[in-house]
Amino acid sequence: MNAPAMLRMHGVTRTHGEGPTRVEALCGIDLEVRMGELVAVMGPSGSGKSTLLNLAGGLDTPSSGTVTLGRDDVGALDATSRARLRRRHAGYVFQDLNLVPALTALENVMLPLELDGQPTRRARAEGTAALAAVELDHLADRFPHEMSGGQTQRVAIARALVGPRRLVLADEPTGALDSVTGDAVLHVLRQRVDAGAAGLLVTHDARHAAWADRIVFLRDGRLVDSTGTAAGPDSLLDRAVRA
Amino acid sequence: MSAGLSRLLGRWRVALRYGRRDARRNKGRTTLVASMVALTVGAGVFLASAIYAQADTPERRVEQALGPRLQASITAAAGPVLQDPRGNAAPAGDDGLGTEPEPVPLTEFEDTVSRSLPADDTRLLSLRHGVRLHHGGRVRDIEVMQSDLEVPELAAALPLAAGTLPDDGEIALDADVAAELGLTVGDSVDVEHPSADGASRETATVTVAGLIRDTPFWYGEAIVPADGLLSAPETSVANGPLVPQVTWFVAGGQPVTWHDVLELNDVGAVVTSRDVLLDPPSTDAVPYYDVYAEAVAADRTDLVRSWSAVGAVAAVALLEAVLLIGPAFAVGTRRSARSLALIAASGGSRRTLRAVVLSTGVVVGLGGSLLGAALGLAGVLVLAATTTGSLAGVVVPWWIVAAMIAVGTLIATMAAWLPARGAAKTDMVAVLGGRRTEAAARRWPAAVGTALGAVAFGGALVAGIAAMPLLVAAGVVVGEIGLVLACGGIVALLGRLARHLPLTWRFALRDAARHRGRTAPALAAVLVAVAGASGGLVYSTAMSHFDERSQALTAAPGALVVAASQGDADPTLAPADADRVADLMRDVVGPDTEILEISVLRSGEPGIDLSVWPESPPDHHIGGITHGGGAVPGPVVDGGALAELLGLPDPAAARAALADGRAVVQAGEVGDDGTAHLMLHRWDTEAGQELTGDTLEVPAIGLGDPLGPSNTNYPVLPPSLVAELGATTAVGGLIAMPGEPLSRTDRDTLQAELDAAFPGAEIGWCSVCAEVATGVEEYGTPQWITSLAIIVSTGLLALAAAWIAAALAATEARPDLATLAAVGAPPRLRKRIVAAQAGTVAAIGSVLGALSGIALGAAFVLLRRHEQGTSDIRWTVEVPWATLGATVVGLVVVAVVVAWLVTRSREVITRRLAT
Repeated sequence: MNAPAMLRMHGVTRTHGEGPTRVEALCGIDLEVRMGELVAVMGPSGSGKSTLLNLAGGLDTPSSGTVTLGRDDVGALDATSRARLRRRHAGYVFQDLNLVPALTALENVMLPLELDGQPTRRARAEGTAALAAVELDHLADRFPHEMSGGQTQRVAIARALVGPRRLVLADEPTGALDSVTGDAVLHVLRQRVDAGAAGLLVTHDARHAAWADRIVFLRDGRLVDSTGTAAGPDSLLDRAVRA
Repeated sequence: MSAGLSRLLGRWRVALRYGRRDARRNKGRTTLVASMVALTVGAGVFLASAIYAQADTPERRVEQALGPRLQASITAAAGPVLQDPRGNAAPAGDDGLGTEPEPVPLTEFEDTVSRSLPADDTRLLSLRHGVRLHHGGRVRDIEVMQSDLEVPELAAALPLAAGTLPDDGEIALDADVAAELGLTVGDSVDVEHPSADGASRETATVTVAGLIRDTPFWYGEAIVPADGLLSAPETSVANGPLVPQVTWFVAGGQPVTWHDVLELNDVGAVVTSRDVLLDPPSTDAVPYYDVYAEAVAADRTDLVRSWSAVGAVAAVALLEAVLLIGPAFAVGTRRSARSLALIAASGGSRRTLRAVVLSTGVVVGLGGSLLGAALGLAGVLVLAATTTGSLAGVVVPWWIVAAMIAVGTLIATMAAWLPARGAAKTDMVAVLGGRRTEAAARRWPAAVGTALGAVAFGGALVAGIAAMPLLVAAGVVVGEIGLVLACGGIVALLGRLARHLPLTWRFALRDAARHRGRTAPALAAVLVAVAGASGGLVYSTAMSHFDERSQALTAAPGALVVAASQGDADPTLAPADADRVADLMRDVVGPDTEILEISVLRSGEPGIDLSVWPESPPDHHIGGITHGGGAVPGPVVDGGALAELLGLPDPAAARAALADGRAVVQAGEVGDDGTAHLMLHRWDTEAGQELTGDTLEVPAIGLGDPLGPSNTNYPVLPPSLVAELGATTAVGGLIAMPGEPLSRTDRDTLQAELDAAFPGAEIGWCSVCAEVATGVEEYGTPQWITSLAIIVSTGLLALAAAWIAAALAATEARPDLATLAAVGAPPRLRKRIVAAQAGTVAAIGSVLGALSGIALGAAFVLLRRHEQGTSDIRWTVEVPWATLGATVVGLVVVAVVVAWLVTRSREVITRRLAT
C-alpha cells in the first residue's frame, strides 16, 4: 500500500502511576495506519487497546516514543494544540453514549468544525454532507435519544470524519449493538475508509475485526502479532485467543 | 475575521447552544438555580425601586418643596444666616453663633426681601403655626399653613387625594392625619388656634374640603385659605408662643439664583430655590461649607458609614447566592462529564469546556434574572397601588433593573466558575473509560483562606476600634471570602476524623470530603448564612443593651409626676400652685393616695440659679428625674421619703443614706473615703452666664449600674447639704403612686385640667406638665422579634444549602448506595445516609459560621463604640451564647429530621458507571 501514513507510532510506551502502583499500559508499540486503511486492534481486557486509541487521537500523551498524526508529533504538543489536532485530523467513535445529548445529530457532527471557528453556514453544509455520507441526513434535527443505537453510531462516524478529518478511532463501536446493526455500522465505517480515510478499530470480536485490512494483536501492552484478514474470522479468533 | 476570533466565537456559539439545551434538559436543576437567581434579582429590583422612590434627588426635592411651578420659598430667620443649596442653614458669623436679632417689622422685612428677588416675580405670604384638632373625643396637634390658594403655582404644589382645596371656613388635611382622626371630606372638625392678637387660644369649627396626599413637610399637615385661622405677626420672626412663622413663596418666570440666595441670607432669610436645587453652585461658592466644614464632613462620614454597612451586607448576600447556586452547577457538571469528555474528544480545548459550563450559568442566570426582574417590577406596581406617601409615586429606575439583571446573570456565572474550572481539568480519558475520577486535594486554598479569614476579621476588629467603617466592611467581606476558600480544606481535615463515627455519619463525612467541589460551596453557604445570623445576633444584642443603658427613669414605673415646665423662667410651683396641682392630681389618683412634694435646690437669691452635677457627668443617659420629659426642674433634695417613688436603686439604702445626710449618686462615683465630687454652678439667669463653679466633696452612697439604665445619673441631695450651702428649696413638682395604673386618658384628662389652670403655653406644650413614669422601654422592634427574624431568615438559607448539598450528594452517591445494597444494607440506610449528609453540612457550617459571625458582629459593635472619637461605654460586645447554641443545634436537628422525612427508602439499582 503506497498511500501516505496518517498515524505513526514508534516505540510508544505509556505508564500510569509510580512506585509500587506503576502500571505499564503500553510498551514499545510500533504501528502505522495509512490513508484508505482500516487497522483492527484485538486483545484481551487490560491489554492496552483503549490506551492505544487515546494516544492515537491525542487524548493522552506517551510516556516515551513518538505518536505522529499527519505531520504533528502528538507528544510534543500542549493540550490546546492537541485539541486542535482532534478538531482537524482525528475523530473518535466509542462503544456507546457517543453523542452529546443536548445537541441534535447535525449539531453533534458540526461540533468540531464550529469549535474550530468555521462559520455556522459552512459547518452546517459540511455536517450535512457528512451525515449524507452515512445516509442519515434525513435525521439531522433528531436528538440522540430520538435515534436508534445504530443510528447514533453512524452519526458518530460522520462526526469522526467531518470536514478535513481523515482518521477515525473506533473503540468497540458495535459493542452495544445487535449483530445486524453492528454489521451495518461497520459497513459504513468500511465505506468511509474506502473513500480515503484512515481507521483504527479496537474490538475483541473477530467477526468485526474481519472488516479491517490489517489486524494487530495486543497483550499486556505489547504488540504480539499482526496479520491481514484473509485468514477469516475463525482463524483470527484463534490468533486472538493465542495472543 | 482572525482565526483566533473565529475560534472564540465558534467556542461560545457551541457553548451557548449547549447551555440552552442543557438548561432545558435538566429542568429540576434549572428551576432550582433560576429560582434562586430570580429571588435575588426580584428582591433587588423591588428594594432598589422602593429606595429609589425615596431617594433625595434634586428633582424630587424640588417637587416636594415647590411643586411643579413655584420658584422658591423664603423663610425669615433670626438674623443673617449661612445656608447650603439644599436649604440647611445656620447663623452667620465666624463663631457660628450669629448675633442677637432685632425684631424687624414684617412689612419692612418683606420690602428688603423683595429687593433681592427678580423684579417680575411675585411674593406670596404664608403663615404657619401649630393648632389642635378636636374630633370625636380625639385630639391631634398639627401644623397648619395658611396662604392664598387661588394662586395656581401654589395650588399645583398641593396634590389632592380627595376633595378640593379649601375655601373660607374649610380646611384641607393631610390624608394620614384625617385617617387617624376618622375624618373624611365633608366632615366638620374643631380647630383650636391662636387668637388674632396672639394672646390666647380660640376654637373654630371648619369643614374638611380635601385630603392632601404626601403633604410636603414645609406646608405642615393642613392647609387653610388666606383669610383663615392665623393672623400675620407684626415682626418677621416669631417672638411669642402664639405667633405664626412667616414664609414667602415666590412665583413667576424668573429663577431665584444663588446670588439672590446669598443676598437674602445676609438680610436674615433662608431660601429654597428651584434654580439652585437643580443647578447647585460649586462648593467654592458656598460659604456655609467653609464655616460648617466639620458638620458637612460629619454628614459625609455618616453617609460613608451607612453605605459601607449596606455594601458589606449586599456583598455578603451576593456571595451567599453564589454559594447556594454553586453546588447545583458542580453536580450538573459531574453529570455532564460524559458530554464534556465527548466535546473534548471532538477537539474541545480546556477553554471550550470551561465555556460550555459557564454558558449554562449565563443562560440560566439570564433567564432567572429576567423572571426575577418581572417579579420585582410586579411587586413595585402592587406597592405603588396599595400605599400612599412617596412610594405611591414610585418610578421604575430602568438602569437599576438592567443592572440587577446583569448582577443576576453574573451571580449564576460566578457560581458556575469553579465547576467550570474543575471540568476543564477533569481527566477525560478516565471519564471516557467509565472510571470515576477523584480530584486531588489542594492545600493552598485552605491555608490561604484560613490566613485571609484570620487577618481580615482581625483587621475588621481593629478597624472597628479605629472607627474606620470602610475597612470594617472590607474586612468582613474579605474574611467571609477567606472562610469560603478554607471550606474545602476544613472538610478534608474533618474527613480524616470520620473513622470513629457510625457508618452513616462516616460515609457522609468521607463523601463530603471526597466531593469537595460539591460540598465546599454548600458548606460555605451555610457558614455565611449562620455567620450573618451570629453577627446579627451579636449586634442586635449590643444595640438592645445600648438602648436600655441610654435610658434613665423619671421615677418609679407607674408613678404620677407633675412638675413645672423647664421652659419657664422659674420652673417651680408656688405653695398655692402646688396645692392646686395636688387637688387636680387627687381627682385622678383618688383621695387615699399620698401625694408628696418634690423639693428642688434653689439659691434663695432672685435671678441666681444653682445646679449640681457629678464631676464626671454620665452624658449617655437620656432623661432621669431632673432631665427630660416630665422631669422635675433642678437638683432634687430629699430626706429619704421619696426613695421608693423616685425609683432609686436599692431604696432602703438610699433612704438610710439620705436620712444620714449623704447624697445618692451613681455607683462608681464614690471614692474610697465615702465622698463624691460634685460640681456646684451658680448662674445669672438674666445674663445667661456662670458666676461661680465649685467642687463639693459630699458624703455619698453610690447606687445602680454605671452603664445604666439609671435614675441616679444626677445626684439626689440630703436636706443637710442645703443648709451647708446656704441655699434653700422650692417645690419643683409633686409625685404620687396611684393604687391602680393610670391610663393614657387619665393622664390626658389631668393635663387638660392643668392646661386650663395654668394657661399660656404654646399649643402642643404645657406650663405644668403631667407624666406617668414608665420603666425601661424597648425602642423599635422588640429584641426577641429581631432575633427570631434573623434566625429564621438566615436559618432558612442555611437549611436550603444543607438540603441542596444532601440532595445532590444523594443523587451522586447512587453507585455507592447500590454497592451497599448489594452487600446487604437495608433500604432504610439510604434515608439515614441522606440525613447524615444534610446534618454533616449543617453542623460544620453552623459551628464555623456561628464562631466567625461573632467576629463579624463584634467588628460592627466596636465601630459603633468608637465612631464618635471617644469610647461610648454603652456599646459592649456581648455574645448571646444560649441563643447561638440553640440556633446551631436547632439547624442541625431540623436539617437531619427533614432530610430523613423526605427521603425515600427504596432499593437502589443503578449502572455502576461514572457519568
